[in-house]
Amino acid sequence: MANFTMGRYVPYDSWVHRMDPRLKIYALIIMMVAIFINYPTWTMTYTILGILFVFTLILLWSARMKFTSLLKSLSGLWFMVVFLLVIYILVPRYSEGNEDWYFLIGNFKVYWESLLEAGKVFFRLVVMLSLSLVLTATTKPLALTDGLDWYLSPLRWLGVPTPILAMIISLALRFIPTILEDVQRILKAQSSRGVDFKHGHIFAKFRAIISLIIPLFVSSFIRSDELANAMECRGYDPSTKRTKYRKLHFRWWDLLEFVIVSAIVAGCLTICITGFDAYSFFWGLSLK
Amino acid sequence: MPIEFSRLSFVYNPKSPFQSSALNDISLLLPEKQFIAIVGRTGSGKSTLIQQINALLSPTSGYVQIGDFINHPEKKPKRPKGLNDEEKAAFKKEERRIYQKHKSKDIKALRKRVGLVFQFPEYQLFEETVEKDVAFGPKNFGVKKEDAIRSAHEALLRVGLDESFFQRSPFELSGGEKRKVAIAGILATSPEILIVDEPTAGLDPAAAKETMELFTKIRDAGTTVILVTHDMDLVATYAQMVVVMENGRVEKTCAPSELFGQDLTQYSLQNPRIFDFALRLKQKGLTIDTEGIRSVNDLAEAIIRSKQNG
Repeated sequence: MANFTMGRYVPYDSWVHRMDPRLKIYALIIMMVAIFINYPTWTMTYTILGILFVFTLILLWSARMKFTSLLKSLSGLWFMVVFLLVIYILVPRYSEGNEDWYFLIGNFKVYWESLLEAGKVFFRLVVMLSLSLVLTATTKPLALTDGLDWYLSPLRWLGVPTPILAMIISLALRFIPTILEDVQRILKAQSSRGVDFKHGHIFAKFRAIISLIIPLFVSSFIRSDELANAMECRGYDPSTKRTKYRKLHFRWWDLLEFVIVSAIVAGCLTICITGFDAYSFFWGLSLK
Repeated sequence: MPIEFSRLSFVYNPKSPFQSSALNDISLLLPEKQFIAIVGRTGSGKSTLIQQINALLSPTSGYVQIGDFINHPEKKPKRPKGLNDEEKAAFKKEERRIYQKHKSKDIKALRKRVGLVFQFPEYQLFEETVEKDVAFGPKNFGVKKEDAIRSAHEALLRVGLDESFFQRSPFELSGGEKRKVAIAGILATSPEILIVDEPTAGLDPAAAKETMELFTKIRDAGTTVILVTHDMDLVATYAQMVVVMENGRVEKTCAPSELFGQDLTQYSLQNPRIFDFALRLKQKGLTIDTEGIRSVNDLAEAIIRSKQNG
């Protein structure tokens, strides 16, 4: 269950926490672009991913999140890593002139470039997940919704009911901890009836999960029904415009952070578009 | 099976901003085959305490021993410095006694012997029929299907649900009936210790009385019953022993009658209404012996006695 706590909002006070949520969402999205575009050579890709990773570590450190607990929550990915490696080992991949760059497992040719590609994908996933966790751990769910609402607001001109969408998102976010609490409670109740969620063969585990999920659904339905009634009792009308209790403010440091993040991503994009290879440009190295 | 807490402390979410200490240095002996009430205000640590007995939570330090099972912290404590050899040996011996590794089957065996009915247990129902849901517990503890169904039927009859309920869906029952099914689900595993957390919350008075009388019967059959509650009326009527908790500590362990008449507001509790009524009579000038008044009958007898004497 420890995994659930990662990415949950942690009420520290740091400059990452104080950032405008709109800026954080913007930063996350354009950083994703920088993470996922292809760079001219694999050396450049790894270098830039490395730089972005260091940047992420700085964010983690400033937000007082522990890297070890991040690793712990990533440890759930081991299956994916193995899967990736297997798939990439099975797929031959080589660029021109690199046909002999392989090693043998038995009689099977494993191309180094395949492994490099697998490494890239994994690296990207780690950086992306860490960044997303920084976002959710440093932003109050409600602030996050306000931010999303702001981004969605232009759609209002197209007739999209953005206040309703924002309400749906904020309710969903609001109920994550409540439902996790429910999970804990039902888990305990079923455990004391002898359900073993950790051990046992696959069929027993399946039964165990069923005994968790059905009560969870039932209580969630009851809860949403009650919530809907409570909201109506207090005069909630989805079609009217709602005023805001908290207003978002874009401050000078937000502008500074906006410029920094944009500059980093712009740099990455430039490298991608121009095909700039720092290794051959500065040091005349040409790595395979 | 007696339950012995020894210097047990428990901290939720240690080393995080959500850290909160729930139990503080609890040492407590709960004798077997008694009706024990645990009382205290919301957040005083009652629910955390009972989850230690069922090994749903493990202590942060100290331990709780239930029969031959010891629920101990995951990590062994460091040996304090500056002990002589004799003390070191004693420490090691104690450590070996307490820190035995539990296999999942040991924990299962413990949970079979210690039945825990959570607050609002109706939320744990999930099977298609009442009978199947009640048999779920025994089946988990390795009882054969037919035997599990048989003990399910027995348990259902005990809580007052007859044959007509066996094949119905638990989701179409009323709140009180659901509660009974859930309680039957625990009784079907025939625990030696039955722990119930606020079993009467949200029930109508008749159903509440029925439920409490059921627990009394279960106690009479030789099961330890531990009741977690705020309701001092229940304590007065049913409990033989009461544990008062405050701020994660045990403030008092005594017979219920010892507790009444003291200022209980500091624990956010009230005297039983019947006792308050007797006290009021005394204040208004009726010479009455308030000692040991726990029920309407007791009060009536005390009034009659005072009338006869006076």
